[in-house]
Amino acid sequence: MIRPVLLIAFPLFFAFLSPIIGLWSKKWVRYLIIFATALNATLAGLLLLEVFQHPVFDIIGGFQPPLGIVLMVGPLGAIIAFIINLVAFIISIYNLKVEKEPIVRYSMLYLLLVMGSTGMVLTGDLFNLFVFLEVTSIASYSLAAYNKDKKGFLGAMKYVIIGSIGSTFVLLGITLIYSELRTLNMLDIAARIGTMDPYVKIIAFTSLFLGFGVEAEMFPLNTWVPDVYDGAPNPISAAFASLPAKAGIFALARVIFTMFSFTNFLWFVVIMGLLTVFFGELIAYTQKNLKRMLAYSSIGQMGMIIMGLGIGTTLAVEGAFYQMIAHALGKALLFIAAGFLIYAAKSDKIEDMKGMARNPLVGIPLLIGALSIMGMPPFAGFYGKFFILMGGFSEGYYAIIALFLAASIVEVAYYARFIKIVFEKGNRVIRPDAATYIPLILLAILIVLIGVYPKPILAVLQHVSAFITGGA
Amino acid sequence: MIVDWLIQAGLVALYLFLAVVIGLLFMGIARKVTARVQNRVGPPVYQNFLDVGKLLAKKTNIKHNWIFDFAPLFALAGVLLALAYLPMGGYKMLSGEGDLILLLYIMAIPALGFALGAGASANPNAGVGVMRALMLMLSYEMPFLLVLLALMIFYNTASLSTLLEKQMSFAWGIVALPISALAADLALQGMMMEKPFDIPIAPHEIASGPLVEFGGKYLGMLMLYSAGSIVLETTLFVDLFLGGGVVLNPAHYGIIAYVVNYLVWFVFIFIVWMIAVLINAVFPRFRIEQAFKFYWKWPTVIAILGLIQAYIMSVFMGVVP
Amino acid sequence: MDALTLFGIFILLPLVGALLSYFGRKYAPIIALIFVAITGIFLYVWYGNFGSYTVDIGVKLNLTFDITTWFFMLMINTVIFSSLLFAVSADLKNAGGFSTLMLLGFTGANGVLLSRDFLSLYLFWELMSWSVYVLILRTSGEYARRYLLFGVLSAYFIIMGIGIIYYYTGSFLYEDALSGVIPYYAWAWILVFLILGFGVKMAIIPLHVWAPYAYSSEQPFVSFLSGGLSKLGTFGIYMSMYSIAGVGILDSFGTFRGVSLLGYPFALLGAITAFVGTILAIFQDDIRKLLAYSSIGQLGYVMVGLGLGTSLALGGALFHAFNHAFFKSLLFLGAGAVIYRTGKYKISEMGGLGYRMPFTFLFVLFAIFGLAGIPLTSGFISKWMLYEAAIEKKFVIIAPLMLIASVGAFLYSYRILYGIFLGGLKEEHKKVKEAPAPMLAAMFILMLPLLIFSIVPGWILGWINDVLTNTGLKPIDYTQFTYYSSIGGANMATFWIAFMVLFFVAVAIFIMKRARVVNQYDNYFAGEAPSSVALHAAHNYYKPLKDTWAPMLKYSVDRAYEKFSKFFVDGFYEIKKIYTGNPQDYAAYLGIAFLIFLIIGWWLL
Repeated sequence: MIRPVLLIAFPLFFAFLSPIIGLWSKKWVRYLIIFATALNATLAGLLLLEVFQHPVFDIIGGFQPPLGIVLMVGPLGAIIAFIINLVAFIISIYNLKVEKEPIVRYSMLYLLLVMGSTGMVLTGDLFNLFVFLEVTSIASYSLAAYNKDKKGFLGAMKYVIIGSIGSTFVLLGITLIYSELRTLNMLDIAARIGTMDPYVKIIAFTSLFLGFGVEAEMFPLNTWVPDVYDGAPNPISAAFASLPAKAGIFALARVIFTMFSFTNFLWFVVIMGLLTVFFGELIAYTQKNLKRMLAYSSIGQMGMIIMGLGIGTTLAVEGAFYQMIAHALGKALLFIAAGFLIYAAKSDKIEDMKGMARNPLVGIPLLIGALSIMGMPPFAGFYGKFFILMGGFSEGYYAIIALFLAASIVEVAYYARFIKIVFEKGNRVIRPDAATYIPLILLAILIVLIGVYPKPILAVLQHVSAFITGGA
Repeated sequence: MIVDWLIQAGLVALYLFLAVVIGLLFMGIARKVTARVQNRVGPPVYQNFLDVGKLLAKKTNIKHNWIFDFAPLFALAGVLLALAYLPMGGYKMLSGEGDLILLLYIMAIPALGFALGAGASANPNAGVGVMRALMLMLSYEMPFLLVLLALMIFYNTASLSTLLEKQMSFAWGIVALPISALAADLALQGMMMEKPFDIPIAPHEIASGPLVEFGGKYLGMLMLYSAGSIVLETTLFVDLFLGGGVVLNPAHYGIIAYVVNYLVWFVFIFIVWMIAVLINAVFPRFRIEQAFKFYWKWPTVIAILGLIQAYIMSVFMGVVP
Repeated sequence: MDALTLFGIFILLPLVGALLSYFGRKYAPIIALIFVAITGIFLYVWYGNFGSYTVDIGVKLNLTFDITTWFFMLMINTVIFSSLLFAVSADLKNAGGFSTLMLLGFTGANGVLLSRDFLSLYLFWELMSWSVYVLILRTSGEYARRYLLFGVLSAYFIIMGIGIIYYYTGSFLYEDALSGVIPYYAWAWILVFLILGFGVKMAIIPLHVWAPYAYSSEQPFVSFLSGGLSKLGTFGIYMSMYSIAGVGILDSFGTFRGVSLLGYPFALLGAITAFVGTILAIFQDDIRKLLAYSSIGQLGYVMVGLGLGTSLALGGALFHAFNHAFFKSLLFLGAGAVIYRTGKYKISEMGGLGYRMPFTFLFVLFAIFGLAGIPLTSGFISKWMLYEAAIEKKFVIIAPLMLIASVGAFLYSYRILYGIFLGGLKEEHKKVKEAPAPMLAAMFILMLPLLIFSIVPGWILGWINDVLTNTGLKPIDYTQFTYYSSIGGANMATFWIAFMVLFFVAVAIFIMKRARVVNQYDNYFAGEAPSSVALHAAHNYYKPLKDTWAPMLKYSVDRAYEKFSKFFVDGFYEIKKIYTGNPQDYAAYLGIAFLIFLIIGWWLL
């Protein structure tokens, strides 16, 4: 029996342990976060096995819900938490490459980011969700500026402004709900949402939608994304794409499905998803800076997930969750590869990276990651995209899907342009070191495994039908 | 059974032999006629028999490599094969065993073999000549294929032997489809590479083009091929538009019909040949681009008109020959 | 045989082979060859052992092994076998990666052929698509990009078709599409999307612009791409029109002389493709581009057959696809052998290689016979079927386009033959050797079916007939040596006997006198030859024709696409301006977004 709370407690513990270790050895701090995230990933995996049949409720502090704080872990939450921690673990290997000081604070913040994101997924309490959102955000703000250069500061600045507005909206929503329903437990809210004054309800809903939309990179709330991803250290960009973004979108799904079940609104979510895809993909095409390109691509992918959620059929939401997993893995891989390319080319412009990926240790994972993001089988990205598309068709969203596919072609165009440049014959081929290629290969193997044999993931995801009708 | 086969084979062989002989004779006649038109004396009509005999009997033969040998072998075999698939004077030969489209492609075998041998000679003139020949082919095939299509649509058959029967029972092609016949005759001039379309072999420009390197038995066999081609092409026109010269139904008149039809056929191909020769005698030569433009313009338009006529008659008016 | 055996042999085995051969270094093609050979053996053994199976990998893959699948697998298997055999001695860089990707493409192809539900179809289609992409990437990133864009376009067309079916049936199974719930106007959309999607692989104009670039990659791969994988387009269109939709639905759009009004435009498009592809092929000096345009043209013929949809036309289309698989692979391999030996790919820079590489020349010559439709190969019979199918239905636009295109084929065929193999041998090529034995063996394997099925067309027509009847279409009219349409027919036995006899007559006349070999130099320059002059007229070979066509050639589909994409990319830069970089604007966006969300929410309440 694994208590979900351990997943939050352990990173917190290690986060505060790291300054102490840091007094003794700076080097060991790096290994500490690898250990901590590995432990967390293992726990999350075990938790996943446990909650496979039915959701687990972990009551904290002894108070029974709806009064007490509760962690509510369904199969979907567990698998997202598992993926978040797994990717966090893999990225922490790449963290060994981070050279800038102070590494102790870096490790702390990184673990807090992991903890906050995990918490956002696992919590069953709306206020708790806000707390974890704040933890994640504050850790993110600091990490975004970690490089202490102009780009980093500017990015972090924008993030702070937009993130805090978003948080404020979340808080506003929570206040409204609490003032009406006198409860913050999600299932409790869901049960009593009908009694709420509809106008208050819509303001509360809109506030939460907007607030979590900031983390979920929804258009037009995603304006911070390119600057932050560009300015942050390479492992952190990878982490941003995989950790808080997934937590944010999971929270968004909770708001839409678990709490409000506001099905009338879904088509608008689809539109917002489509807009997100469009702006993400089209602008990504114009980018010359690799990390900005990946950032916009990330927006596009998140838009696809939002679309999947908005379509709202079992198949599409299944696809959205599958896509969350695939995108967490794929984008982490691409950002790590981008880190290597930037390091090798000593420039973040794509055109300077001629032939930098010709070493197969980078090249093959990079290709797998890019193909997975494009939605090619047998990689992880295939099923998610296919299910979302088919879900959309079954609801009759022909035109929206057609537009989405057009944007996808643009996506393929810029990825292919990027691949063309990095595989061109050109500069000397640079061999990556172990801290780079081990995470790359691990992620590539995961992507291929999930893509070739999707049965385990799909077995978990069959629970979405319960999720979209308001379950855990 | 086997006896039937042998008789059949013997007859085909006889017809093929006669075709080549007629071809050589026609070449001689053409030289004489052209000379008379141009106010020269000209060689005797049997001159080409002497030429072929001399060439085939020559002791010294020169070749450049083994691919060179493709030319005479494929050219002669191919043209004989094509002749075998063509009804002559009402005698079907193999034309029941393969239709017009097969014949069209068999006609490509000698041309391709010839082109291979010519190309293998490594003489630039030969290469240029073949290029011109192929381009000319692309030119005249455009109207010619449209004409064939008109016939096939109108008579609703692709088989030459059936076409002959239908022309005998209904009306000759030249009566039913006169516009197409005109286009076909224009195309025929290019197919036979007579002036103004003797561009591929233009002796003054490219030294006889593809033929430039051939001598001795090679040239002899290629002359036999040319002789066969003349009969092939004129017969094709006669079979398509003049009922193959069939005036008496062999089913009723038996052997007499074959003899009479053969004679009529001979007269017809002679007339067709003479038209070509007379045009040849008085015209200068086109350049190849001019030939291409000419063929894809007027004869094609005429052929399209013929096709429209055939289409209207067959589809809208429901004329079923 | 059960589901796992089938899946294991045709899907998993090549995948395992792909994994293993990556580490095979120099021997990778041999390892891949062994795996392909094993699937080939099973293909041979399992003929007639047909059935449907379901494999569950989380999603259910419905696989059916029937005569249609078998027929297409036969050609793809043979073609990839030859290509890999060729690759054994081709000294490819990173042969491991090459073999892996070839086997991945092979897996995808097998999957597409086996699958009878849209999910697995799409899955394997994309697998095949990207492995080809990476294979092209080995040569050129830009060419690969062009391919991938069109590959993805094709996939998305297909997905639109699939999606509309899914909307009505809620099922991915092919057989459920015919349950009658799909109205006929939806079928029009479905079929147009599916045909366009699969048509991209067949490089139907105007979706062909990727082909000349993609076909400029490594020849063993291109031979597989052009010969093998493009047939998946044929298969896809055949299945979607005649198996998934069926004749009944096609005819519900109205018919024009017995041909569906939906099929007719595609047949016309095919005829135009055949014509344009051929004309463009005539003007190419790069052997790879020439063969690429030729491939476009030849697949246009196939499209005509698929569009017309009579049994004769479909039989012709399937037969022509089969022939094309073999002669075009053979041509690409022949070109590959020449390029391997000389390092050149411009036709005008070669010449006379036929004397140095006689076997390569003979194989290529035979392939050219097949391409041009000379009756000595089975290439004639398929063309014959397509012509007669158009003529017997009195289609006076399609038939002449096809016929004149086949005359054009003679022109570019001769350009290959003369430019590369005939004419004067260049000084630098005096020491060129015959291609290595594995290459010759590969070409020989590809030549055999063309010859055999020309002598005994009844065998292959039997299979094609089974395919047609298995799909629920009328049988074609044939016997062991003959084949008929309603307006004609031909007997290959008579043809071959007559040809052999007459050929011996010619030989008999020929061998009466012996010939002496004289070097052309001594002849042409009368013994006073300069040491090196190229006696070769292949430069800008069809210049007069090109001049006459110049006004037409200035229109280019390629450039139209470029203009189109430039227009959109300019738009992207405009859109980019939304992200101003100014946090105040961004905060304002948030406010505006909140208002909009609120209004929409209120309205939806």
